[in-house]
Amino acid sequence: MDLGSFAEGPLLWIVSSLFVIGILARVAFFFSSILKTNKNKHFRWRHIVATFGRSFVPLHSVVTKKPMYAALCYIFHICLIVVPVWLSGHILLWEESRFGWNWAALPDALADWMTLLVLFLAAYFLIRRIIGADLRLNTSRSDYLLIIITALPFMTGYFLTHGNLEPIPFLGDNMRTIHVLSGEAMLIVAVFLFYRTQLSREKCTGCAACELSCPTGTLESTDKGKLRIFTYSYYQCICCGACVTTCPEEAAELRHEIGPGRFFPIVPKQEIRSVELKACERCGALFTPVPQIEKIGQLITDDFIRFCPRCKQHKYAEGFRHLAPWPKKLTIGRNMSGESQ
Amino acid sequence: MAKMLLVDYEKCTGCRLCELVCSVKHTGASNPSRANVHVVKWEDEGFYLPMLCQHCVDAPCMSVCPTKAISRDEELNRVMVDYDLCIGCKACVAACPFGAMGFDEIEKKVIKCDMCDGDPLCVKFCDMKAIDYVDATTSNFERMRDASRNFAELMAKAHGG
Repeated sequence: MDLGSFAEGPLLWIVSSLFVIGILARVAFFFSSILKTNKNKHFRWRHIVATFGRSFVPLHSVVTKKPMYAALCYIFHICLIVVPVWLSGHILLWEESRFGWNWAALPDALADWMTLLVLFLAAYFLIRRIIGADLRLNTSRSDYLLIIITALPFMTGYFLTHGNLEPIPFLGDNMRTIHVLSGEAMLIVAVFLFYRTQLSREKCTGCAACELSCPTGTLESTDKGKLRIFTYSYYQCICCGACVTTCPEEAAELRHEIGPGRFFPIVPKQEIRSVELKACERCGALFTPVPQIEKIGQLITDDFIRFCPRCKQHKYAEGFRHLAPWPKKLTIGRNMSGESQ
Repeated sequence: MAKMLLVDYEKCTGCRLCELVCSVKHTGASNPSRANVHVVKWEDEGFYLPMLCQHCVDAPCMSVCPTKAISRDEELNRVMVDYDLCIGCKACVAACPFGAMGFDEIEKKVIKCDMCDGDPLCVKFCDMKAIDYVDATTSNFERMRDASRNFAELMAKAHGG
């Protein structure tokens, strides 16, 4: 058995069953993980479903902030799912298989255009990551890999239906095998594809508004010593983007991450950011992250900004205490203690 | 006529009933740490000052709010939080010069005096009327301004001005 027939036969079976089992396992892990967290128990399920549903409607604030980019992302993901499922060539294979299933296919011309769109957008996303200086710093190797793996089946598929590759020695014979293999690679990657909220080191002020907005308790912050630590539980994320739409500094970004090591929930929480907390200069209580205080200091002028709210009250009341017309120490108390001695 | 809350430290007896009724009115539980008014005390001097939101005209909380959730309600002469817009970043809590805003750890939202929509409960329960709900007339504003002028001089002295 050569590689081609192996890829189209047994390997396809193995990969598809791995895909189905993997996705089912992830759903199970999601529910078990989410039932363990105690956060927001009273309103949670309604809130989770509502936030999840809202993320599918392209009317949230990410769309208004970056309308062009958001529209391209929506188009890219729609094409990504629609083309492989409703392509006439694929449906033909389903019909010939032992299942004998078939359904209405997309017109071939439309499928061609959608494939080209996917390739064009993948190239755009790739170039955008390479050109943009701050974007490149925030890009890991798996980001590039993901775009390439996603684009590869579409590229090979387009050549398979349109190109005349006969003159090229190796590619001409093996295009079909490459197409099937890359499609299988994409299925495997989909099982290990996770989301991750990235909090920008420069922009994030550590206010933890994202924690309050997160419906599933994926993003959590805990104040530990002098630091506020943000942790992320991979299995609870439903990719609703609530943290991105909430963040006042536009510091949160929801990213794909290929993480085979995260499939089994071995590491339940991962630290994604830590911010230093400001200590009150009067009582020493830690009250607000340092970057947030700095930002407030730029917006307003206030001598008391160094103090925690409780000490501010105290400082302010102390001013009025000096204005009080009566003596600062009561004599009655002193006399009484004097008599008792 | 717009009205305002006027605090008179000479009348306050430090009974802290205002804290209790405020928390009962706003949270349904008698828990002064979740109240919008706090009495700062110097017990041995007999000096008590109820601290609450001053409903500033140019409010610092309003200018630091990233989502413009804090706005001024001219009708009732108060500063209000719109909880539909509030994201809970607590910038206002850190910005308020009077420490008058708080964060309710149980309901996970910022809290501030809302003047009980024009019928303040703390005033009703304050027998001495140390907190009073008065017409925002020129004379009342004058009293407030005098106090703050004296206060500003003191502060300038304290900071070596």
